[in-house]
Amino acid sequence: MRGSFVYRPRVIARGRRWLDGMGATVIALALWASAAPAQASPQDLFGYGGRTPGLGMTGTSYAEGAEAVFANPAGLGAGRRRELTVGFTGGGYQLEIDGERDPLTPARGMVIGFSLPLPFGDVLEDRLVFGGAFYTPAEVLLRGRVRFPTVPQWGVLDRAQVLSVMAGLGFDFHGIVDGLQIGIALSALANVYGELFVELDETNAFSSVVETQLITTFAPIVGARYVQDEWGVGLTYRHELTSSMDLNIVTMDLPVELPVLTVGGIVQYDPPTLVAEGYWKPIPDLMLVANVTTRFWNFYPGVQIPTTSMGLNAPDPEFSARPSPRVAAEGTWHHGMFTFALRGGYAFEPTPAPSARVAPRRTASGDPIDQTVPFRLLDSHRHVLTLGGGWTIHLGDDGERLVLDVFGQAHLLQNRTHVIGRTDGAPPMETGGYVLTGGWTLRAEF
Amino acid sequence: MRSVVLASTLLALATLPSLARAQPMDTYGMGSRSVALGGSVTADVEDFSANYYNPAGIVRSGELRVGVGWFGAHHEMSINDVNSNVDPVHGVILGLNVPGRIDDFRFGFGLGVHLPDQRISRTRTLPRRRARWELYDNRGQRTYLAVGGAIQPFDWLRIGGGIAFLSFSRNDLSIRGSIDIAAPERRSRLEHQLLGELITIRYPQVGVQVQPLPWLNFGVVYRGEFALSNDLTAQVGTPDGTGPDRTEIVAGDIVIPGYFDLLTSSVNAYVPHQISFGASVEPIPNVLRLSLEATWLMWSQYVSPIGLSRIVLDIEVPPELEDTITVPDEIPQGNPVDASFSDRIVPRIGVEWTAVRNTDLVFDLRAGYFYENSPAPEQTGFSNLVDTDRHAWSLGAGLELLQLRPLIPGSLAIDVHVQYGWLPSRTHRKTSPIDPVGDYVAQGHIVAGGANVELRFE
Repeated sequence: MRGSFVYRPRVIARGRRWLDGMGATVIALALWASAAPAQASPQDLFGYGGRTPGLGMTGTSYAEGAEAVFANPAGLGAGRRRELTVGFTGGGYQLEIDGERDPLTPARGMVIGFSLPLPFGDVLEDRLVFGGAFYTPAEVLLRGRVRFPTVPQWGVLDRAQVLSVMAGLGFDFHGIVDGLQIGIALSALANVYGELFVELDETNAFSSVVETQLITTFAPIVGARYVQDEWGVGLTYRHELTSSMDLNIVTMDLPVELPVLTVGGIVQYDPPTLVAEGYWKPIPDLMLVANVTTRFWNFYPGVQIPTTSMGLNAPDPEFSARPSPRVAAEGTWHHGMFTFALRGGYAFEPTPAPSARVAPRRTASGDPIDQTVPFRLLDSHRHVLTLGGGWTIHLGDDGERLVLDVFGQAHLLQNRTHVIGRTDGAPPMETGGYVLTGGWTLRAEF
Repeated sequence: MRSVVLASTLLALATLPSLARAQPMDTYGMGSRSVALGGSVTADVEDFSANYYNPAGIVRSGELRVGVGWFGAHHEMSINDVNSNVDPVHGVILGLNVPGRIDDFRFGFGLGVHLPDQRISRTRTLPRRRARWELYDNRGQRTYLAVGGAIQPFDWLRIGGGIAFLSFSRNDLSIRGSIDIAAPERRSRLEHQLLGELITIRYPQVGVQVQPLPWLNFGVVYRGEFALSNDLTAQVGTPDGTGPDRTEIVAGDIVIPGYFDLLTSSVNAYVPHQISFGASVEPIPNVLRLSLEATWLMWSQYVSPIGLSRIVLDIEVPPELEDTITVPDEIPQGNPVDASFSDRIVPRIGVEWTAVRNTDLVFDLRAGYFYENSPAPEQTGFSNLVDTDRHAWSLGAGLELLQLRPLIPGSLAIDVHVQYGWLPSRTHRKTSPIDPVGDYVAQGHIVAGGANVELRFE
């Protein structure tokens, strides 16, 4: 009997209460979820700003101003003028599974940044520079996606829909060790915690009380660099950046006991990252850059969490630490009040993810068990080609400038054959495709 | 020409989005000096609180200003003399005013932040009938972040503004697996899938300051409306009870397919259109300042937090369990309830007296007052969106140290304030004599205070 709409006076109140309670549970759960933001970091995928993304996503040794907040906050210390930057970046995905396009929402958003030398005097003169760097997606301010492990999902690439907030401070050792700068920045995200109670209210009807909170979580970025006229080196460490959702749903007064439900997961994760870089100027108008960016993906815990305390979790993602080599070059040309720049770069981004496979589920404590499940977490090696240009207009007598930077990137995914198919029983999956992204920034220095 | 190019660019940059969420500033103010003056500062504000009160003031002083401080508010609200336990609000405030000048053209950029020290934000959804202090219960539990820009085309005119943006949410939740009603904690096997999105909303924020005479200022500011809505679709199981995403209720050997579909849409936070007109005058220059202001808040467009919900339930109950599990003939659907709020005009007044002024320091004493008539009607029916009028009195003081060279080429200002808000009692009488909540009397007090330090670089 489908939808047993049977009137039974003795039990209807009990049944209605139970169902109203279920309704209240789901409504409350829904309301909680509606408050839950998700985070990811497009700067980890594409770089930040208008100049460094055109230079193979490098910048640790040479970036200054707002771009340095992410690339290496030590670069802030070199600033002597106030800067305000605004820009836009956008791109599109052409990711394929078995030759068919698997659509992901394009990443588009606005870049806003500033750099502010603090005009102290005496021993602090020209030493401290404060900077901020923000990225706001154009359509979806924040997105969190937690999927069943059996559903094909691009765990590394599908992370570009999130607001980014970073602030840093650079210190210049000029006069003590000329050319040495250090810096620290904080990248901020939020964890979501919530409690939900479903119970009988004062009118003897089931109702829910939902309370969720966004708690700030910070990840430090620290860096140092040493620059001379013809060369420079830099080192940056970006700490793990994680955002999680965690809501406990407790039902009371129901005629049928339900388990405590936990909804959420790790909705954003940038691994600990260590960057070493150097540049060399064989002639004043040519800069060559070499960079190694190592991401320690082996700490990645995976997106999913168990829905009940004794439920089963998705398999271990088994990601690995991977170094990404990068090279770039920038040539400049001066003409009157203008300076032009042409940039290019290449980066190899090795995938940290193993093939999609059948893998053992885990208990809530993380131990693998005999029960297996298809785990379709997709990623491939990427070859990243970048191109960029810059146009500087020198304005006032005090060094005021307008700087327009543009860039484009092509992320070419190496074809990969996975162990399992797109669906159960299907032949092994073939994945590949490409990602195109570009953007511009306009910077006023005054 | 070069100045014009850069100025045009900066003008464009002045319309940058300001990042803002719901505005606790509307209730508690921002910055000790401005709060101490009852918020009557639109005409001549020039510290970092200009980022909230009037972005035109960012360019007013021509100084680089960096401010930091702390703010707190304690609520004593009651309904029928029972404490409503409205949580306190406290946190850090930060601000920047960054001036610039090219030839004779002056411009500036600013940043203002209120960051609660317990959380970034909190959402709270209460049962539809439960009485809640609609304007105080949760509105202060949010971060405020604003970026503004301003220009000064003439010595007597300043224009500032930007585009603020917020977000509303859209979510899709699926749960699948089995619920074992005999051993739910140990043997239930559920898993979930969630897609949550916050969608961007943009709104304008503009202000003007006019100074026809050195001792006379006028100001006007407009702050746009925003509403944080929550929209969600949730599914438990599949409509036909089959497939990998099905949900089952397990009772021994009996397995019951189940399907539940929910659509819900509601507003969690709302701030109305606001227009504020203010004037300030110095009858004794550099000694006494008086200001008056009126703020028009268009609460009549308020969207009630009691929103829409649509539920579909389909459970196939086998005959042997019909006595145990009964599906009702009809599941109540939730319909929006109109809040029927009204516009209100808030008058404000502020007085500042400079008690000491010499080459080393400036010491000011301040006082202010404002009155907010409640936009909420008497709660005679289904909803219980409690509010009353509010009278707020404030006192404050400011000390500016002028001789800090060579380390600080400028000055250091320290400001403090306290504010007392009185919410006189208001009786809500229900139309229905059997209303489950019944008649009640609401009243309360708010005590707030804070301090901030501002570095002013010449």
